[in-house]
Amino acid sequence: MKRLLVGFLLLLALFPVIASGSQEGDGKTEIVMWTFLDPENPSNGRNVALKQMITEFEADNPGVDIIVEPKNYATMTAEFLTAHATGSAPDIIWCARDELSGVLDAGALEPLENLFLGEWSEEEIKDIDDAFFRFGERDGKHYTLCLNKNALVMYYRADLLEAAGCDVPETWDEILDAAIKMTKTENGITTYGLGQSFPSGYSDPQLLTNWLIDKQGALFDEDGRAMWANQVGVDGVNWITHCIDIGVTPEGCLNLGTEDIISEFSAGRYGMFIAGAVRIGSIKDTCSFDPKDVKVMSLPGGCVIDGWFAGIWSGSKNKEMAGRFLEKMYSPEADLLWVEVGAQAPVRASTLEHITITEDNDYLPVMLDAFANGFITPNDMAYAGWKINLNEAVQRVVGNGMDPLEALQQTADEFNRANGR
Amino acid sequence: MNNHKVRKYTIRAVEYLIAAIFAVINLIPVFWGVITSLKNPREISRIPPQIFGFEPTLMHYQTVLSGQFFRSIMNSVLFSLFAIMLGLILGYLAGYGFARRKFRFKSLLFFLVVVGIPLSGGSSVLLIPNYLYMLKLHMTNQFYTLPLIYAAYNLPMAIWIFIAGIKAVPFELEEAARIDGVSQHYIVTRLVPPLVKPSIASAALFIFIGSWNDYITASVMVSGNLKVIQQSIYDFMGFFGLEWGPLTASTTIAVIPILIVFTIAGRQLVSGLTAGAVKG
Amino acid sequence: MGKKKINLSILYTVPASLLLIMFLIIPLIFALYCSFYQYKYMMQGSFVGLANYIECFVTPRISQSFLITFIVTFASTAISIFLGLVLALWIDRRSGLFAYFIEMIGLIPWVISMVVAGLLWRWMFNAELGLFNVIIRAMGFAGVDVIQNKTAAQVALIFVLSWRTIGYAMVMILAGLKGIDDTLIEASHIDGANSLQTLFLIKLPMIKSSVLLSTIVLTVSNFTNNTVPKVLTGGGPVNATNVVTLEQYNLSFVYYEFGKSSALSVLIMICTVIIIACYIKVAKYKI
Repeated sequence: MKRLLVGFLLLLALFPVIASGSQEGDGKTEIVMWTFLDPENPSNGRNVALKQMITEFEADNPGVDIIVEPKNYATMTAEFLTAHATGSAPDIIWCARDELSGVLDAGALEPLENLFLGEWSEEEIKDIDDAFFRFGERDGKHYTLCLNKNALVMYYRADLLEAAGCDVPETWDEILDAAIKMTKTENGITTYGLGQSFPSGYSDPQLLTNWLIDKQGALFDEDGRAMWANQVGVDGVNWITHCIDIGVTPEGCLNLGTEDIISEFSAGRYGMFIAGAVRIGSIKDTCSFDPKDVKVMSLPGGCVIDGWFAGIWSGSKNKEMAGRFLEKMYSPEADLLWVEVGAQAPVRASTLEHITITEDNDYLPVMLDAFANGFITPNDMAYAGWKINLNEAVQRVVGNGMDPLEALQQTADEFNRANGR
Repeated sequence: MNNHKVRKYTIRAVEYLIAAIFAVINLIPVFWGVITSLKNPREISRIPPQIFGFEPTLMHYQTVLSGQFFRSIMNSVLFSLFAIMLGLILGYLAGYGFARRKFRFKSLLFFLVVVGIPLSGGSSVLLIPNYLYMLKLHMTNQFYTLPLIYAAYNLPMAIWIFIAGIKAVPFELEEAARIDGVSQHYIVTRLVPPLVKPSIASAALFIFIGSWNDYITASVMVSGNLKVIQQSIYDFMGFFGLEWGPLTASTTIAVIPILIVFTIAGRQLVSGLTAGAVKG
Repeated sequence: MGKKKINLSILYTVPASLLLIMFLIIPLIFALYCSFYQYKYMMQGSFVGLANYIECFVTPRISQSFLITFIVTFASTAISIFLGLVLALWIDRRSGLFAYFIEMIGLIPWVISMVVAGLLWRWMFNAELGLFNVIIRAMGFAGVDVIQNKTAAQVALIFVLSWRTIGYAMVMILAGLKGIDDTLIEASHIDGANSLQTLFLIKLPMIKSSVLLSTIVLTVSNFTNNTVPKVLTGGGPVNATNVVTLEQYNLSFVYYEFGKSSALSVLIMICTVIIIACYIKVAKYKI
């Protein structure tokens, strides 16, 4: 018992030692940022780039400590909103696309015009003015800057496409044709032409999204209601079920997740599939075939674009300084760091002048084209769960044999209801 | 005689067969994880998967150890130990009270314990209310945050384990001691604890596993220097995707402290502790 | 004197109760409060009474998910307890290194990270990349795409949940068995009882509380388990494994419907407390 108590006391004495790291404030201004990046973990280039920006910023501003609290991307926004409600949120926050409208509704972000954007010249603004910049706009003010641009592109195997004798497909018919020609079975292992996935959980938007955008230009009507329970939607679902019926998409695709389908593509199971362009680096690093054959292309009607939007908390005590760090992360030098060290797509048009397109980064033109013309959900109101709803429509048709229109109607109702329309 | 021997050996053989099946099913994901952690990324995504016949590499272990992995292991060890200490002391006292004493509100307090059980065990059910509450108390991201939470989460089960253990100790022992003029303080702190070693061990094991394997609470409550081991493991399945190599490598490393605890204290914890609860 | 003693006895439970109230009960009450309000993106809206609860009941997805949760929980708990009991009775007869080895191996699934174990199983169940199908095919059977098939996915979920907990049940029950006084069993043998009679008349009644304890732990752990279903099957295919904690997670972190998600949390809580109360009643456990 005594030994137990001694041990207990020793443990208590040890605690301040391990905790000391988090209490090195010593009167400095602390800027806290939540992101899914971790500057202390050098295994990812983006982390290294961020670390360098922090070091530079702290050297330029001796009285300031930038404290990054790495968070789980899936729960980060919920935590931020909770912290906002109790008045103890971080100074800088990264928000996902689908949640930004909710964050703006909550009044959790400070207009950047109040901080630094007001001092920017028209030319500078033009340098960053794109769909992502406009996404962070509400009532004429900008609340966020996009720090991590992504486009949901079609990946393909250049070697398989060439062997099938096809050009890079541009229309739905050409995609189907290429998929049929790329499907083959060798040594008992089937390579499917077109990989698709329709999970109920987290997923990248699938073909049905691109189909709807291509054929009718939008997913939602002016009141924000789902607009897929119609003939266009039915045609899209039928196109997908046709792929499964003729065996260019495996039957077991309903419950594949984003990670599954990426792993399977890397293993050589697919000729084509949809995923975020930001994943190209890791796919090239892990694929079991020649990484040079991993290519990306645009989709008919343009790609869906996505990103992480950094803003300043409206309740922050150090808005000015936090804003300056955000500005730093968006500076031309920082952008070059994100691109060169972090292997990201540039956020500034001017950065492009420093980049030469080679065989190693030929995905960039596709991404840039998507950024210019791609589809992004509006931010005027909440559009939660639409990817799940579209996937579930396909699930019900393929898995339960439901009529396509009925399935689309059901999930459209579910979307409308969940989003209070 | 010969027949008897044959029968004996058959039973032995069947026993070993069952043991082998049990071992294979239990260990197969661990085995697969260790194998994966030794493959290079291209080897990992090969169809069909190779069980042997690849060139082992330690590259993923280097990746894992280049970060702050050791710090998070240390944090997890300290948080778990602290939670175990707190949970054992409070759980034992409460267990003793429930098992041996009569007092007002006893069933009400016991109901409190029962309600507490579903709230524990690493579920996400009360994540946001808990987070909001801890924020209001300004208790997030402190070195005492997680130990207190872990102790609280696992306390209901610990109490219950102690109630069961203490009830199994014959009450006559205590009464005899009391007649010998031993103080209540002595009974609680010296006489009973050695008699409930099995309960101490299973409660400690329960709290340890609850604390060691928690991710979801840690992920909202702490970050940075206070990061725990499961958060470090999650780093390899973050926004930029699942990295099988480092993920399995870090999991393999994370299992090692558990194996050490088991091998050193295992006898005491699992089977040694059961040498005879009553006999002490 | 006597009265004083009664007053002091409650003090044993006070420190523990304080900790429980502080970290479990107050958040629960807060969730209960929130469940009566409308919340959108964590902003408190108007008082809606029981509307959030009614919404949970009338949404077919959610009521369906409760059914799936009950089936999955009871199936996996029953398998774990039964096999755990059988293994414990077996190991109890053995001692030394062999028994120790089995106990250690039994506990490994319980101690390794749930999420990584779930991911590894998912991977092993994968149609082309998975170890499972490699073995199945090597044995001459046709491969199964486990996670893509409704029934197979349900079986897989129950399997992995049981896999995780059999060893734990075994060790918990074993601890109870080892606690039985050897003289009792010897006495029953002397009285002429055969091993079956000893089992049913002596052993099982004596380990009642450890069986009850592990049943409660496992039921609760399986009922509120969000991690294994999330990483193993993700609720699919076609909602075949959509357990209620996944719905609750989605309400919180996809739809940001905090009021509704609190209502669902409270319902989950009530369900588990009722199940525990039933167990206690059936086992005639007295405090």
